[in-house]
Amino acid sequence: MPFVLAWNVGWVVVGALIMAVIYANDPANAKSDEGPRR
Amino acid sequence: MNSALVIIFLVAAFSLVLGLVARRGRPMTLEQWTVGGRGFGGIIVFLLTAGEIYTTFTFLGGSGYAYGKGAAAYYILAYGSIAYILSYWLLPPIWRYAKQESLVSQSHFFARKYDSPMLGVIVAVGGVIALVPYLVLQFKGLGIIVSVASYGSISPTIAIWIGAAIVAIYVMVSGVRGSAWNAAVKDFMILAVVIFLGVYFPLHYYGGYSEMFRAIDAAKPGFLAFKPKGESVLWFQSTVLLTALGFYMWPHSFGAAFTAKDERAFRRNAIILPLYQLILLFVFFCGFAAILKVPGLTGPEIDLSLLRLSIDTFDPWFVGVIGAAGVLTALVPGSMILISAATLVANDIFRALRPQTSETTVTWTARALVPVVALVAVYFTLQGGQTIVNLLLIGYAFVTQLFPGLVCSLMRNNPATKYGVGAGVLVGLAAVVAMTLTGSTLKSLMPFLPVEMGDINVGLVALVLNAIVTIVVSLATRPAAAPAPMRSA
Repeated sequence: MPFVLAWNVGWVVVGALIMAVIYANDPANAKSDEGPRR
Repeated sequence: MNSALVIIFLVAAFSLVLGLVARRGRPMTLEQWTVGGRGFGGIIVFLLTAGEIYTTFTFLGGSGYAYGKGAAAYYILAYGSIAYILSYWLLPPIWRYAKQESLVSQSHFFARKYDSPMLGVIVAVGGVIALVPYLVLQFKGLGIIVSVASYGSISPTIAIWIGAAIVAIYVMVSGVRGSAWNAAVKDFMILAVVIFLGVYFPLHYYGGYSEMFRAIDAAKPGFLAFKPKGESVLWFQSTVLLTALGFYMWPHSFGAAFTAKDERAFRRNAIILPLYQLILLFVFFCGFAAILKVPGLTGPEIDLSLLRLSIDTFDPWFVGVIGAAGVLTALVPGSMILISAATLVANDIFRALRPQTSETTVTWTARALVPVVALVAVYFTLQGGQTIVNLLLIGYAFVTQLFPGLVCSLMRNNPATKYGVGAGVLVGLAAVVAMTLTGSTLKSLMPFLPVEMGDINVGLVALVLNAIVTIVVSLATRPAAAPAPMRSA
């Protein structure tokens, strides 16, 4: 795979992993079972 | 009639029936018609949002851009990922405010946030202008798919008319529910087809991915890297930035966010969607595989590369399956765009100018406008000679002009005034129109800048102008004493 394309793919994967960590640690996601926050 | 055409027609007919059945006896109020009564769960919201990736733009435009422009196509992968990451923080406050105020459209959102019906009208007009090239590219893709997959027995013009009629009918009857049901079928079909082709073509023609890239690099040295001029690194960066910021500024994407049942769906999707769009790699592989096998396509013809290679490779019945998947990638996003454009005109322009209009009249007006908008798009489709990607980039340049006003409106203390946002949007839209029509670049406007600056996307130049005007006019129009508080989510 060309380097530039591989670089892009790498960042997509890393970005998704970072978002997963943020999601897991975001208190808003635990609270949102009780309904939307105001 | 060949077998490819039979399969394409069967799938198109199935799409029409599914779109009509989706209503299931529900009364079509404006809220039901446009945002599905705000009752869609995470999976449907995912499909509607993910549907934005897998449109004709990706299927034909993405593979065509990889075929014709090489590395420039990578921008499609990059901007979606950044947009989804942004959506984690952007969409929940938009959704909360829309739910709280029972909003059904983007311009409604701006009008309410800034307490300015006129700003809502400006946003609506800008939205409709931006949506037209997006709808045009879906119809253009539809014409290409049916014409090529029918081995030339059906002209693109007839295919465009039939496709536009199908979408208009089910959208008028079922609204966004028809789109949601079809989105599920479309995503399943397109994923299966794209993954298969992206694996099959490189293996069949080159013996593997490495061999394919080596062959391309040998035949066209430097094609798989950024060019020093034109689609350069600076073009890539500015285009990714523009399109990532503009991703959710499309009226139909903004509207799709209103359909969610809860805000957690957006945050979950921000993790999954970037990975989901890695399937774009297979689209690129199809375009790359075609470079040496169906050489010589130039200009708007690059969009044909995937289908031409498919015709050279497979039996007609399988070309029909590929064509059918492609037809759905045009019909489903096309239906979402039609709903948005019709709602914008009926609810946000017509109703804003005649506030006494009843909800029922607005709903019927929106539904009646669907064929009108479709006709306008068909007209421009039959006139145009742009590539699919260029059409989308023109639309993005328009629609991203709403980003500064949106971000300001979500701040606790909104620094922008309605005059600032209105002036900024108008200047941004005017700049895009002027630069697109005259073919101007940043370099031609400011000759003292380095040559490379000419590659910066004109939409981003317009966005900077827009931001400057928004700030200056907001400062000039902000009340001196006790600034009026702007609503925030």
